[in-house]
Order: sequence, then structure tokens, then C-alpha cells
Amino acid sequence: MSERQSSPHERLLTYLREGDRLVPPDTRTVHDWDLRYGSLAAAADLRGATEPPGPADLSPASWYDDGREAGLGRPAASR
Amino acid sequence: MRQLSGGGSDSAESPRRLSKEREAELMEALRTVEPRLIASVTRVTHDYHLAQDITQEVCIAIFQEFRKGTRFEKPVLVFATVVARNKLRDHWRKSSSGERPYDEPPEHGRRFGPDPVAGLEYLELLESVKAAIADERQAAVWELTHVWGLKGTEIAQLLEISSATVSRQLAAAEAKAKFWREDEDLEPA
Repeated sequence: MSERQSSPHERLLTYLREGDRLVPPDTRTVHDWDLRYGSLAAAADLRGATEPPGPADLSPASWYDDGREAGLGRPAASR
Repeated sequence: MRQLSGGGSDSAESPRRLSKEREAELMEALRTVEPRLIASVTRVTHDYHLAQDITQEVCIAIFQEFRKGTRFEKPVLVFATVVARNKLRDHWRKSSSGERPYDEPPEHGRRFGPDPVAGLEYLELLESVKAAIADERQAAVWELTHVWGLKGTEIAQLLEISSATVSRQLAAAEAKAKFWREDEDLEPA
């Protein structure tokens, strides 16, 4: 048995590599980053006043469960 | 002080000023997380602007956690990856139902893509990988490695397994995903 270009592994990696080409190089300076941090802080202030953050479940079970939900795939083990 | 590992309750607390030490920690976390997340979400969505929007939402969530006094038991990147995947899923769900993601005002002009073609293609490809691997944990390790770009130690902390197990599971997953036969894609008669 040999690896083929059409394997699921290769097909998805090819798709992902196409996306990689869309990311421009990060040329931000320290000053740019300080400005970015300030804008994020302001956005967080605004958001915190109007929309408290929802819970984030970092458990392994949650990762698996979320992957099973419609739109992000059916459970692999069920097929 | 609140800890964030496998869940826990969230409560709306008023924003508070961070100590210099915590602010430095936050800045370092954001500086590390932001470029990696933009890259990961762009590779999934093929939409750099959408990736910027989702990453900004995640960074705001990190900000809010720091301000609540959360001490991350798992790397901040793990938190960011989980939040990003949830937001991406919400985005696709809203796009497919015609809702405007993130309540973006219409005057912003940029279409948030009810063009889920790239998202659908990604989901189909991910499904085929999962079907080939046919093991939930191995598929998770594959996805976290190749899609989200997490390192072995980060995956180990997210999935609460050892780094050695991550390596073994990844090798097994890749072997199955690489050598899948096309006739196995066919639905049973």
C-alpha cells in the first residue's frame, strides 16, 4: 500500500497550504504592536460593558463534543 | 482567583486594572497567540479578513479572562484555539442560516461571506480525514496538529494525555489518513 496524492491527508493538507499563501508576512513594529494592544484593550472595555464573555470549556470531552456538532463534522468513530 | 482548565462557571465581573506583571503576561500571550491564530484561521477559511475578525474576537476573550483574574491552567493558545473553533463554527452556522455574524453593522460594507464554499470544502475534507482515521482521539490529534498548528505539548495539555501518547496517536492517525483507499469512500450499498 502506498501513499497517494489523493489520500484524505494530502487533500486536506493541500487545501490548508493554499490558505497559508493568503497570510501576508507580519511586518509590525513594536510601535504597531503597542497600538494594536491599545485597540484590543479598548474593544475589550466596550465588549465587557455590553457582553460578558461566555464560558469556554477546555476539557477534552468538550473538544470531542464540539467536533461532533453539525457543521464541524460527525463523529469519526461512528462510521 | 478563578482558574480555567476544564470549564468552570463564568460570571460577569467588572473590568479591573491589571498589575504590571499581569499586563506584561497578557501582552506576551497576545503577541504569541495573535499571529498563530490568524494563520490557522486563514488556512481553514481561505479568508484573511475573516481570520482577522475571529482572531480579534478571541483576543478580546483573552483580555476579558485576564481582567477576571483567570489563571490559565492550560496554555493561553489552547484557550484561544478552543474559542476560535467555537467562533468559526458559529460563523458558519450563522452564514448558512443567513444571519449576520458578530452583529456587524451593514455600513461596514465588507461582506462577511454568506459564501460558505471554502468552509464547506474544509468541512468535507476534514470529514474525509476523520472517516479515514475512524478514531476520535487520533482524529483530534491530527486536527490539532495539522489544522490548528498546536505543538505536541500543547495538544497533550488540551486532551489531557502525555506527549508520548500524542506522538503515537498522531503517527497512527497519519498512517490511516495517508493510506485510505478510494473505494472506502463509497457508501455501503
